[in-house]
Amino acid sequence: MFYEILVKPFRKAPARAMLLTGLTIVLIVVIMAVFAPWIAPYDPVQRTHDRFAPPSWKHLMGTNKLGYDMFSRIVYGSRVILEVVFIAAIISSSIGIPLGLISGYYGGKADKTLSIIMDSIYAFPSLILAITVAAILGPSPVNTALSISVVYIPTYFRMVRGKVIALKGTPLIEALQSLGLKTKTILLKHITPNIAPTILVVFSLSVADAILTEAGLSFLGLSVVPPTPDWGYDLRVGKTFLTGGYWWLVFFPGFMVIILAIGFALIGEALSERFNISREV
Amino acid sequence: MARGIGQYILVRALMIIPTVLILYTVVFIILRILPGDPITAILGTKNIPPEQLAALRKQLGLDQSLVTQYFDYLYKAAFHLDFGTSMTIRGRPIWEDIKTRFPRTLELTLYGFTISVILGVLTGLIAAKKGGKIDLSMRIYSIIAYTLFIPWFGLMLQLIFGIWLGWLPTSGILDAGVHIKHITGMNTLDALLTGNWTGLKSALRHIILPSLTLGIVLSGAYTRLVRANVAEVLSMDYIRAYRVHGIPEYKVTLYALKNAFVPIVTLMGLQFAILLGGAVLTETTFSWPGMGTYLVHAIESRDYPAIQGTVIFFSFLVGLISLIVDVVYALIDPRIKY
Repeated sequence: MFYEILVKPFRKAPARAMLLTGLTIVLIVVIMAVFAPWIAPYDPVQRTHDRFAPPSWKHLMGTNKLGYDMFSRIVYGSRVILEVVFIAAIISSSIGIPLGLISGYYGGKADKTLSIIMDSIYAFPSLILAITVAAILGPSPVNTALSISVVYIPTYFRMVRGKVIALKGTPLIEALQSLGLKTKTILLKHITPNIAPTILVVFSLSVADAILTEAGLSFLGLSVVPPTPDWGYDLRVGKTFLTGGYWWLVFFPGFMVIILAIGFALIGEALSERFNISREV
Repeated sequence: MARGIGQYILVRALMIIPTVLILYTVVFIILRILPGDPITAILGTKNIPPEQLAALRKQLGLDQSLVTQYFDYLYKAAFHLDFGTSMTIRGRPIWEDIKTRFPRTLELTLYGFTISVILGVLTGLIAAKKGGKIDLSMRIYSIIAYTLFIPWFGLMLQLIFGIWLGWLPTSGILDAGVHIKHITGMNTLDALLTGNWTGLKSALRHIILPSLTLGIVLSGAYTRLVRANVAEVLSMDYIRAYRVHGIPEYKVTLYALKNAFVPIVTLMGLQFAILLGGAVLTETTFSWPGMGTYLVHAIESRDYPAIQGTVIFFSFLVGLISLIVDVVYALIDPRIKY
């Protein structure tokens, strides 16, 4: 079933390989997050007697200054990043998509004003925007999710609005209008299914980007309260000990961030190729 | 034509105003509606004499109505470049900090930008020309480059070239004891202008790793775009005609690249804003004393005027860049009407 729906439509080899690799990565990280207590050999905030121990069988990814086991922190850290990024994606899509639908369908002055506002936010360096909002809200997973979602609302809005405007002029929609269908019906039953693939692509690509933003915020010390295990935060701590040559403190947390981002980027890439959607850079 | 483009630039320049205004308004509202008073952030909450509190409120203009505060700041920032004064180093104008720090960020950004364009155009061209496996590997390169987390990549470079090999410095902008006379505020340029070779060498050694980090991470987007556009142009009839007429392949590629240039210029404008965001992470990773670290310090010390000033400065900059891009766009593509 899963194979029939998800994988079969991807006939071309590169797209299929990209999709499978992406899905595998995401699945592994999700399993890590869900089964963290069973996978992690130690408590992520429990001091062991080994401090600054290099990777070994006892500590797969070494230990840090306080003797925390890095592998256990990495496993638990997947929880924070996934939680934050998914809350952010849900907030930004549930604001950006409806606004884009309505704004694009009705047009007029409200559409113009909204577009100018969205374009201004879109043009502004996203990380700086997220940092500013996060700094003001203070560190907590929900606040971090909120500040990240602000960044991606315009992405959904612009993509959906553009698609709706393009669809609005097609004979299909014009016919439905002349049949006297309710606007709500047209928007939900006929336009939304048409733009669903686009939304999927934007979703996976913006999640890939949001992972980097979340990690960036925690790297700057704006996301979680220590000693919560978090990849970006652990990288920040690792940076202070870099001159000591403790490579494992920086290598693993950052590497996980990249792998997870690649996972979602590959899914987005495969989807955009499958549905032939030119992605906005 | 001459009058036409002049008018176009003027209209586009005026369009920066709403962008800056919107962002200013957003920041203004956020900074004021949220819990937490800048006063308590500076003085702490312990028994402050009311007179001192009132004096500080007055000094920061917080005793006025919100509407007055809103327009007062706007007027001062727009006509006197007065972005207020820092709260951490009391009384230090924020504009002074921007003046010394922005050139350093600009320098880093320009180097990163150059590296990303060169790398991106090269990889994109190779992908479009060779196709097949090489094309696929270039695509994978573009995905990986895009997702390379800046702090991680920067720290890995520091670890390899700074700590293990000991070739390059891992942080800062100059070696201790090296001085460069300031003209533009950009170290490498100033050293070049004053003929200060030791200074130039020191500045270059410090900028290599941060600009490589920024450049490689941002090159992926160019790879993708150049590949797509050049491949499209290369499949056109007139390119086939060139080849049939025996025009050398490198010239044909050059023609194709030239015609793929308009979207690339658009991307350059967009990327510049991303570069500024990336600069925050790069600067923090390499302890580079630019606008990015300034913003981070301002946030850490809850210096609200400095945060506000930096954000407004950035929004102005973004507006200016998009203006430049649109003008360049109009100049290189005769089809664009203005």
